[in-house]
Amino acid sequence: MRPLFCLLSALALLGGCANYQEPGHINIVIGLAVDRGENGYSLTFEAVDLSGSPKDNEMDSFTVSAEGVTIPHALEDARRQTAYRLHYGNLETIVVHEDLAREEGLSPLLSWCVRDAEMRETAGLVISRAASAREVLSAGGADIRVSSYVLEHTVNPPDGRAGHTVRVPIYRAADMLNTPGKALVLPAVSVQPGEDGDDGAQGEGKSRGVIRLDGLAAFRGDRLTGYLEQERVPYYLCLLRGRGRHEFVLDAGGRGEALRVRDCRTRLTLGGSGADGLPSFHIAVSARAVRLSAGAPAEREAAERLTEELRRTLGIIRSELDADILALGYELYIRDREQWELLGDHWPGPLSGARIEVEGAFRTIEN
Amino acid sequence: MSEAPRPEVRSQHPPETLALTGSLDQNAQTLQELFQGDDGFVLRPIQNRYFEERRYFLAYCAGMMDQHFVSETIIKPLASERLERTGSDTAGTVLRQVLYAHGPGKQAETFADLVEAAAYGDAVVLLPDGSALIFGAQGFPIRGITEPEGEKLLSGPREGFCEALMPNLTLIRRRLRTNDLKLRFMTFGERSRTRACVCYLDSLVNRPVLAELERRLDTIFIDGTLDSHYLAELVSDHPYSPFSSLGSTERPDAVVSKLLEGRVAVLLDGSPVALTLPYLFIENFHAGEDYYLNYLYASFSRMLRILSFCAAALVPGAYIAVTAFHQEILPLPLLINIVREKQSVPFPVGLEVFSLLVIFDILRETGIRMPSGLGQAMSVVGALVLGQAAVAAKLASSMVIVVVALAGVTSLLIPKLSAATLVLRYGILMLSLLLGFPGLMLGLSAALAHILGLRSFGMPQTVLSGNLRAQDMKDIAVRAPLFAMRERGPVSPNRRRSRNAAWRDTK
Repeated sequence: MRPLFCLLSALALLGGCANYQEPGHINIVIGLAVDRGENGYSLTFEAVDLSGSPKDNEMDSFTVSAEGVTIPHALEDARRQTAYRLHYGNLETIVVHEDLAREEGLSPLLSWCVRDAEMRETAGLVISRAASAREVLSAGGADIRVSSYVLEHTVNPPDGRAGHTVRVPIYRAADMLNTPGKALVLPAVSVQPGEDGDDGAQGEGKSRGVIRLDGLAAFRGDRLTGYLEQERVPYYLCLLRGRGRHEFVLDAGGRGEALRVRDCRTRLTLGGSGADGLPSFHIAVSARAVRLSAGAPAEREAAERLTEELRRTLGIIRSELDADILALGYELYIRDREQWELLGDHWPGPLSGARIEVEGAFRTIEN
Repeated sequence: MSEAPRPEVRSQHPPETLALTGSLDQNAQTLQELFQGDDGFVLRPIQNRYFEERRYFLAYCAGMMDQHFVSETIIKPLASERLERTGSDTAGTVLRQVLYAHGPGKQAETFADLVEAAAYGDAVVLLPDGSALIFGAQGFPIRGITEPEGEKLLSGPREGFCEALMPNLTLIRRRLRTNDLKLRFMTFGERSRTRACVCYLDSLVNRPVLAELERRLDTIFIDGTLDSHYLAELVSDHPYSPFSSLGSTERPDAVVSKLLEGRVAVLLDGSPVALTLPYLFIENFHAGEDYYLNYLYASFSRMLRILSFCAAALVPGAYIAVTAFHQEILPLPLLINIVREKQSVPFPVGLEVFSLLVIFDILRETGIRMPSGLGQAMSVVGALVLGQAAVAAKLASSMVIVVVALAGVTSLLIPKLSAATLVLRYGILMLSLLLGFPGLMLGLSAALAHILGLRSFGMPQTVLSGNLRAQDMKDIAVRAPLFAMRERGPVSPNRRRSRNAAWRDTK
């Protein structure tokens, strides 16, 4: 009997599992917006509004705003405002405003997310290019009321559409920050003002704005350095090593004749270092596409067009972002550790001088 | 008029050493004294009409014997026989010749034999020379051979045991026409003197198990054994466990199949339930008709039963662990539905689940005790009306109704484990309520540890923990085709090929 009592006590006291909470006494938080506040952090929680009838399939939400010097202080402030406990276990999306990401970095936020026992580390991270992150949670979609749902479905479409952005959950963001040669890339969103008088799917009193993908936010360390605009994102995804399903329309020729790219297979080869000591890379992209019109270009012509777009994207990444969002440094770290030891401390600085060749190939799979 | 004071009743069964005396009258008096106070006991003197010195006593219990048989086979010959003694013949010898000519009988040695015989409907004849004869003359009513209510089959034999021992043994012997079948009779109960029979096939039986059974049976001391489950509890390896150490069945075909696997069966007079041993844990999930239906269907059914056992034991606890401790693992739409419903229910989730489980068990028990038609109606009322009403009155959420119904219905699929399911379900429910998933895992681990430690008459009930053989796997969670099960199960030491379909091998 005594061992059983000890075992039960140990489980209760050491397992951290005596966290009983009645399911009827919680507010389910599904979205969190993090802004810079006057004295630190300003948090906005989007929670599911459970006041409707269970038979009502329409889901609505409400927001709770709180401020604090640190994130835990802001959480305390939020707890004081609600009768029921805020439950983060089903959080879908965290929206961080670009100012905060640029000036203070994501480390405090990620540290809290990883350390909090309740937080789900599969929640996605998004950067807001709107006036505030809270504005994103006040906006919505054309067909769904709850902003966090809209965000999640925009970044990670339930129908499997791909090629428009990347979804970065908390655990992967924390991993990218701590992996040599990798730079954090997060999807960026903005709010497009809706038409006057059109309430759309949003409820009364809500902004009529619509959430839109607005490129990718690139980071150096945990600080935001710049954006890759949305029209470049498909080509960026093609440049990433590996095989992926990236769907986008390649306008080949400017005559309205187009191909729909279905997927890409990218092979990254690390070459030897040149006289300047910088490494060289060769990126070979092999795409498969569907011909959308009878007059669509031939494969060779389309390959040239693809190569041109890939090079243009690569140029922007190298010249404007100051972040190795292609993870070329990681490639160097894995394959040539000696050279990485020489260059790693200055990375991604040497990337701007490195030789990078890009080559696109095309294969039409359907007419 | 006041009743005469009754003499002290000698209720104790006479000792085995109380032997018959050489005097007819003294024997009759002793027998009368032994049954003193029993108005159903009859000691009837019979006088031969031709020889004055030939007096007898017929002893029996009223209502227990076949009156016509006794009248024609015993009373009539005794009263009217005219045989003269010749040479050294005693009167007893002559009478035995007369009576044996009419029906089989046996000589009694002690009063214990006489009392047991008379009490069980036999006719006891006390002879002038001081000896006594016993004639099987039972004439009490017994239930006919019908299909067991609890073990109905879609396809297969419909016969089931009744409450009388000898007809039950007949049902077994009819299926095993071999001298290899051995029957050993024993008597249990200091007062009930109930007969039991241990059956086995001599060439297949697991001897250590048989010896252990006999050792345990010999040590039983009890006033009466009214059902074979009395014996089961008394000889069980784990008397405090909710899991059984012995199998039980009311089907003779099931008993015979066990005997053919080297097991031992115990039948008790007055009980339609035969005990089989040793018992493997996986037998809890086997059904009689598994071998009469297509092996794919049988295997699927077995896996459903295993799944049902897990569901019946774990689902309520898992529901509490998820909804009260680990909401994050639920899909968001489901969590929203649960929370939304719970906000209108005034009771904590633990109390809600516990009380509904108790209500379900009450309804189940009521359904069993009620007449069959009414019982079904009770189930419908309970499941549909009461459940709907509870949800409408916001006494329970619909998700809890689903959980309790799932746990309840799945437990009905495995009646052999009803006690274990009950204990596990409530135990794990409590642990989950205390600790969430760690509590559930603690309960599950304890249950698994207990199950793995179960033994049946010296044999581990989960024999897979030893040397694993492919043949042993063919009748566990799945039932292989009969021709593929070439060897007997793991119980019999005689593992030689038991089944064959030679034409398949020669194709």
